[in-house]
Amino acid sequence: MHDPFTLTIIQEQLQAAADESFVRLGRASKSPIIYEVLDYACALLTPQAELIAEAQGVPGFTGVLPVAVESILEKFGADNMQPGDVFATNDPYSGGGTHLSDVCLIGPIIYDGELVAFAANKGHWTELGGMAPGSWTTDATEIYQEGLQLPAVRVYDAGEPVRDIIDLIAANVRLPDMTLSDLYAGVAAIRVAEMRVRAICERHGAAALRAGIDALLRQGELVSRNALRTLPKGSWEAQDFMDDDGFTDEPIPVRVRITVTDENFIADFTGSSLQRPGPVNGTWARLQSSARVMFKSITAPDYPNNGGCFRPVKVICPPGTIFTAQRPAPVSTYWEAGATAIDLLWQALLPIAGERLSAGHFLSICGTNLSGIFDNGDLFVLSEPQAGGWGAAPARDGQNGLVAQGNGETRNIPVEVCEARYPLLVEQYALDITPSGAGRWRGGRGMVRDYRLTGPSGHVTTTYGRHRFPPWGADGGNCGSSNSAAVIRAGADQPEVQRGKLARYPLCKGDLVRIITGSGGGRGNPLERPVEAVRADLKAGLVTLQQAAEQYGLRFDPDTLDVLEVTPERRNMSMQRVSES
Amino acid sequence: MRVSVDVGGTFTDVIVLDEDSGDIQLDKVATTPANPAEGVLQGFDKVGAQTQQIEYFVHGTTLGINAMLTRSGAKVAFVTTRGFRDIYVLGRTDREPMYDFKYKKPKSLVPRSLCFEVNERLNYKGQVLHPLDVDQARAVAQRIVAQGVESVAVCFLHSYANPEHELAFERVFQEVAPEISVTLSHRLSRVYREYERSSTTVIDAYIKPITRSYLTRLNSELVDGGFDGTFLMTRSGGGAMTLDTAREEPAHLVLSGPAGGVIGGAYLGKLIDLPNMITVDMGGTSLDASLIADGEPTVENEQVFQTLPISVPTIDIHTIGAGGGSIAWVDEGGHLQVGPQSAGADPGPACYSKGGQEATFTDAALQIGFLDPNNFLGGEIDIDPALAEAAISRLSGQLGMGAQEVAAGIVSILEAKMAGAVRVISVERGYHPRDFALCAFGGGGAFVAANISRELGVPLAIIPPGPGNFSALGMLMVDVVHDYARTHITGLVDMDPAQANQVYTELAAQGQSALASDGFGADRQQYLPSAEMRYRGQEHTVNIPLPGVTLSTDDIPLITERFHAAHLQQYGHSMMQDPIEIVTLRLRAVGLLPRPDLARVAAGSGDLAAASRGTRMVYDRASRSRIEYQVYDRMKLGAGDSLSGPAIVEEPSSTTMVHSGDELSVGEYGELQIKVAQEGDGGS
Repeated sequence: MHDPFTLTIIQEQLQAAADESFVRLGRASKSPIIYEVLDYACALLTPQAELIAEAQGVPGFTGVLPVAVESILEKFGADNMQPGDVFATNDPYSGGGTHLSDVCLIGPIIYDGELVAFAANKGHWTELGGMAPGSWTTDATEIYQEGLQLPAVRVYDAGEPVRDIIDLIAANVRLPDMTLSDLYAGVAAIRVAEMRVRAICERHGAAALRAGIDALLRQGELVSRNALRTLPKGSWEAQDFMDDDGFTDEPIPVRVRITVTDENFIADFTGSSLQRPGPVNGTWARLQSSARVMFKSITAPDYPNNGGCFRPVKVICPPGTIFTAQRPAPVSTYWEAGATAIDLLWQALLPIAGERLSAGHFLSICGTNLSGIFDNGDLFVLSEPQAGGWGAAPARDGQNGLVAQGNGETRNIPVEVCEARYPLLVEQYALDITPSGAGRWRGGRGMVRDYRLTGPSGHVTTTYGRHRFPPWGADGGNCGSSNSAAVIRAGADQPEVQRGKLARYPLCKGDLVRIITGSGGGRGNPLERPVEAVRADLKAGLVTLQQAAEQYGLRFDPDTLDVLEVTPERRNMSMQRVSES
Repeated sequence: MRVSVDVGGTFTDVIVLDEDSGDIQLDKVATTPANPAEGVLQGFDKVGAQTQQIEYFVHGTTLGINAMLTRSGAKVAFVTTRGFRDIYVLGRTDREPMYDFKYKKPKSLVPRSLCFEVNERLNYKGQVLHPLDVDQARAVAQRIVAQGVESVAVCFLHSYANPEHELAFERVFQEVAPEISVTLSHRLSRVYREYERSSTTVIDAYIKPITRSYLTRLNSELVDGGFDGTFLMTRSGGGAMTLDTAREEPAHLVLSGPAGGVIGGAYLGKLIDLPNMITVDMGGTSLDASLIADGEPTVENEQVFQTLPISVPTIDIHTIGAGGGSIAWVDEGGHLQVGPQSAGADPGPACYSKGGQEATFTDAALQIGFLDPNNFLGGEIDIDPALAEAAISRLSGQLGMGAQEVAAGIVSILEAKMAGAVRVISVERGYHPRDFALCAFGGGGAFVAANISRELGVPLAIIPPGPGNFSALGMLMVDVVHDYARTHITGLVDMDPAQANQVYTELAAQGQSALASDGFGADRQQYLPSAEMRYRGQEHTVNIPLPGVTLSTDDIPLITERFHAAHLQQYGHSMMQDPIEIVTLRLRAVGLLPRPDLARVAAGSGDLAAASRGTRMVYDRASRSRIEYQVYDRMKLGAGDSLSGPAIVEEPSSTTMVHSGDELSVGEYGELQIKVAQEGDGGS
């Protein structure tokens, strides 16, 4: 029997070890998507691949690392691991779980001959080869076009780098210097975690470590089960469409049925579309992650994640669907399916957890890849997600310009850094005031950003879902607006193309790429929005006079902002309210 | 005579130093939030400081940060480049609580309706793409004035590379409304990243009117009282600034208060030859941890306060919610937790008899015998141990364990958290705690110093004289500092030293004129150049001291070597083959003030009988039994006296724990030096 306070202290130290490896990885990497965008996660796991503690910049990796560790255990066996080993996997269908760019590194932590834990991390490496610079695009038809596959290989053998594998990686990527720095940063993070966990063993003993981990996971499970008990029991469904797969305009039907019982939270995606020829497919590990994220957000969002928290979660989906693609389906923009799965769960849960959920948001990470050459011929690749509008929350307007659910601590790249680093001029970066998202509570605003190419030539690739099907409103609120990317040629004022998905669309010097992200959905009838709130929006420039008249039923004097006219619909609405009360 | 006053949330600490004798007097008065100047003057009275005799008055205040926290600063307009109205309100668009599906951004200091655009544009080299449209700028100024704005923040894109447009806007604005203060981003930061620079500018504008009126009022009251000395304010980045600079650039005052303790630590470390020191300031609600390497506090060039970034040099102080008032509670899983909630000063711990029902760290310390109920804070506060016991018993009922065990658990858990905070500023920054001493102060620092040190492998803990007022003491040890920086991106190997020297010529000229107007002659000026550098492709930088303000190609090998070594130290690796870039050139201009000497204390007799206050039984978690601790009066210990744990050393504002295996000796300035028994040495 271990002193319970020692266990609490060990738990603090395990979290500190995960945090420290997160800091270490971020500071050692040379890839902006790691150190600026924080598209990575670090974790400690049990010898049975259950999550102990994690530190992450994006929620999308929740629950992916355990699958990766399972795949390593299955392939190598715990008995064949030595101190100092590091394994790498990015296989989307098994261990890697997302797309090839996200590489998992895993190191066994062995104390006194015994496997006590795993240290693992998963980061978006900027370049991993394939048909497109940046290793993702919207027109791949099989995984072989999407980059180098690392099917669970040993990259460090008992502390020594496996040179042959490292040379192989370097030879297959466009920016070997950057890619290898991602590898070394990840290995450094594993070494830190390993050192910290070994110190805990030295201090308190391996048995106390095990007891501390067990207690932590049991506690996580208890917190989840307590929260589960407060949810209504029954089944709830949602269905929706993804825009398309990039090859045809055919919408992709998806659905979910959630069943809440005393013991389980079951998400069944059966009936969703089969996998598609384009890279919008997701895989099993990511689907699991989506269900976990959603479960967490409606149960105990502030409690630190561990494997115990997710024990009640069950996911059902046959293989070969858009959410559970099989080799060799392309998956490089897997986040579209992952985000869709979350959004489906979100819609289904609205009736029972509405107070914890906002209305629909712009949803897509809006992955944007601008590449090209400098005047001296050197290659550049800018890869970044975009911010957009969030839906109205209960009794509150939606948030303007925030990264999508699938991103977390992801930060935008500053305009001044972008211009100093790439041959681009950002001509505007502002809220987009498209008339949408009206409601008693208004949806938040999306963004508009213009990049002008100042280098000789380039390409733009975008994958923006919710281009055809805008974010949903709730309780009578209007829907939001669509995400899109447009190319406006030098000297022109109208777009040559405006779409959700662009695959390496060619650019010349002076061409402008205009990114517009969606506004979020509104909540409640817009005609019930108080006059003062509409006037404040007009003052802040968040609503136009026209939208105020057409959607809120209020015509304002442009100079004084006095109300000149209330439409009959709005008058009827307020009379109805009076007669009801 | 030098006087320093540290205005904190609860208490205003006052210290008077007689420069001839080196004697110090210290005291506290209650902070007067409505008019903090009143508390300052009361403090003067209480220590008997004659305003006419004060040569230097050094002041630290939390006024600015409080205005930010409570959103009670000025009505500010934000002005930026056309097309970028939203850059400030949007921030970096991140969403840290990632499982919160109705996350709300913290309220920004400026609403969108007060954000304005001016037609102008520079590129990243500072070249003009579109000249500033003066007529449109004037129209913007008029709209701002019509809104009843009190203060204006201006940040144009790439103004770090060329400030001309910001200066031009200031001229236009002053023609329209000379009475409204204008903050230009480039005056505070010449470093790229528009949101961080905008935020810095807005913070400055936001706290400027309130800071100015406070400082003006305090100064005039002092002058009315006959004050004729130098009025200095401590800066977030270390050192001090004159009253005039503080009025112009209050952004540098945000961490003015806590900086004092770190400066004091650095000073004490130099005196007693411990240039590597970790400082820990434990108060009622929070703990501040910071690190001094080679005699210099660690300074970060960008910090985030309550989600608001500020990119002026700031001492790297990590704060966690762990203090004497931290509340113990049982979580959903049935485990004991401590903090971050605090009972604060009111109602305070349960034992204060002011209505607090919840068990705090202080109650636990009392319960296990660390604190003496009959001599609490020197007897200034009456406490009731029965109330502490009752509060802890409620927890022990929930946990099914004895009250002593629970109380000891509360202390251990909070100590582990505090060790975690120290780990962040040391281990996570690449420093090993074994190379440092831990200097602990504030009301509670002395209490936890030995155990935190042990947890991290720090060999020596230092309790300075007057630990309760140490931040104020540190403020007496400042020099006047001006920091300058300029983004200047160039490869190191192929750098043109003439260009860097040109930048330094300009920065040094600014420094010279600032120091001259502060009243420093050439013999009392010092210039410390450094460069932020990185491997090409990285974003994070490492700040490297440069050999001088005039560089030549001969200096490159030395700078290269320093960079690789610093990178190895901070990040655990260096990449000898990779090209290195300079990103930002920095210059710290220092106006040297005469350094006061602390008085040495008289040698002790070696016989501790006179200092003994008997013994106390203290509950020990490891052996689950009560152990006898010897109790001593610190005021009766002399230099050279030494004692072994288990022992408790008491003084009016603080209690020092010396555990079994630890060895304490009194240093020549009265500081307590505790040689901490390490794990495996057989210590507790």
